[in-house]
Amino acid sequence: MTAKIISGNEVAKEIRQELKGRVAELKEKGIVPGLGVVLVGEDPASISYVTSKAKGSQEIGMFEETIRLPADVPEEEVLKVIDGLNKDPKFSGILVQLPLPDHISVEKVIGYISPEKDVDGFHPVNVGKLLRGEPCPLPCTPHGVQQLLFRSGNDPAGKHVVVCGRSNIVGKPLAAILMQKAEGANAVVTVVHTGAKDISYYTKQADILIAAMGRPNAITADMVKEGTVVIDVGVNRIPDESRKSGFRLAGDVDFEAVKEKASFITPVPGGVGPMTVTMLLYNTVEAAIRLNEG
Amino acid sequence: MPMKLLNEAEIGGKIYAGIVAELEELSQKTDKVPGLGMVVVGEDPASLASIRCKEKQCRKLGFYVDIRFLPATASQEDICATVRQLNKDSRVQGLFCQLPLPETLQKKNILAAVDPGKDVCGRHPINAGKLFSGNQGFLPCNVYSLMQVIDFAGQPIRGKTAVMISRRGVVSRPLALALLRRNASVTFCPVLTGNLPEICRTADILVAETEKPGLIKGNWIKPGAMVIDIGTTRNNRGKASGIVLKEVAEVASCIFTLPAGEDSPLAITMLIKNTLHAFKQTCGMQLQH
Repeated sequence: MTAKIISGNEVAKEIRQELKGRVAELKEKGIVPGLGVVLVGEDPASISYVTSKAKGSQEIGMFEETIRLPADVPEEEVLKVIDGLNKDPKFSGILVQLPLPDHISVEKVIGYISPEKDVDGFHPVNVGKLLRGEPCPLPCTPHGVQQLLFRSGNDPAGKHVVVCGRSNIVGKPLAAILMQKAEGANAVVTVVHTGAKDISYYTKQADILIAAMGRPNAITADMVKEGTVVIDVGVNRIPDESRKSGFRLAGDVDFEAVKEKASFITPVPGGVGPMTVTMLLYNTVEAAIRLNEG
Repeated sequence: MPMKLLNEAEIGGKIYAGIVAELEELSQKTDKVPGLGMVVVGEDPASLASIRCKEKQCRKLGFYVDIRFLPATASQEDICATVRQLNKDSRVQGLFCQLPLPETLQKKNILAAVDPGKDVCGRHPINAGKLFSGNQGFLPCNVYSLMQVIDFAGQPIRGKTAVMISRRGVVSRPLALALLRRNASVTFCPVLTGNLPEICRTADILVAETEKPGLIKGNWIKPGAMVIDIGTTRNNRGKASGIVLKEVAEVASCIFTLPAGEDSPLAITMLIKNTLHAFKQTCGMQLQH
């Protein structure tokens, strides 16, 4: 079997079209969703993420403003900026681009964002709600993975999903989302990681396999059972002199070999990547609606 | 292999002895004592009995205790105001509202009014979030007690496979994260899929929090596995066990049954331990887990 490719670009486009319609409707009621982005320093990867968030916001007709701060900005100053965004009704969503310089506490900064405006879903209150199955903004990358599955006709309900990797931004929240009793979830979920003796013991059980370890070629064909749906969350930069940038992107899955066994597979790039920003836009629109309802 | 039925009293006794020793050591360094605040709404006899039991245990250890009794008619605002008073009171480092609260009240809002740093029952969403992110926070007392039970059973957790059979995940979800933090691989089974027996047989630690009595049979158990039976309370008809004890006992290496409700003697011991943690934190001392 050769796997069908799930295109993140296409699913993302579909969702952005839906969002564009919703933003237009909201504007008629006088509500303009707004995203405030805080960028500290000049990390090129961060700048490129922030740019795509700004572009995506414009594309769906949302207001967006990026506040750029120098790398040596004191922590107190960052908190002041967030305080301003918390109070400013122009912004329904606030995002602090990570990583932050070492002298600034991520925990403190994230905890300072008003939970109602936390569109990354990383505020401890929202993380706690996610765990308990209460309504909350879903973290963007795992939410994007869920949408990719659901919209490609691979409803996780009743399936055994094996998540490789237990990061706070992908593995753990994805497990929490997929185990909820809700549409597009209700799955049996296993979380495996470097503490496991033999990862392939688990991956071979998967109906749906999620690779989120951050290691190129970590999932090889012998670790996958025939007909599995494979979602590759990994984004690894591999040095490549033939490219102008000096690198190429690769996922965590040995794509060429695994696609011969899988039923569905996502490519890197063009798989999960485009979904992350899209779900951020989704959260900002949702936050605008919630804030307006008071 | 002889099967062990883990004895709650034995485990509790060991932890209690540890608390007494820690208090002894603390009394050399400070003349302050740990303090626990309790808020009780209404006159539910089970709640009052539980509060008396907690009070007795705390007093025996020399804790400062502040119990606020409110009438069943108290409003959410009244209760939150009482909680805020205790939040500000430096004599209490831990506080909680006795559950259940009258149904007319928004439980969520009241639990969220408790200062997360004093939330020794681990019910504030921030403490649930911290558990998730792997930061230091308070574990819910019954989850904390189960971690003690698992450690007491003596097998290292690292590298083990834990399977949680649970619809709602009230206990098993936070327990799963606590196990994940200790390097177990964790499978959540919120649905009764066809291959449930197969999934159960992968478990070194099997946690059954199911509403289906007798769901889990002996041949679903990996030989030598540890089985934790959480069961669920059903319409005052007592507790239903999710496992067929007789069969499972033939295969498992040990079985532990968590008593119903949040106030088992072991959970109360963990409440006291959490209060002690909170006290030490305010004294600027290192925590020992």
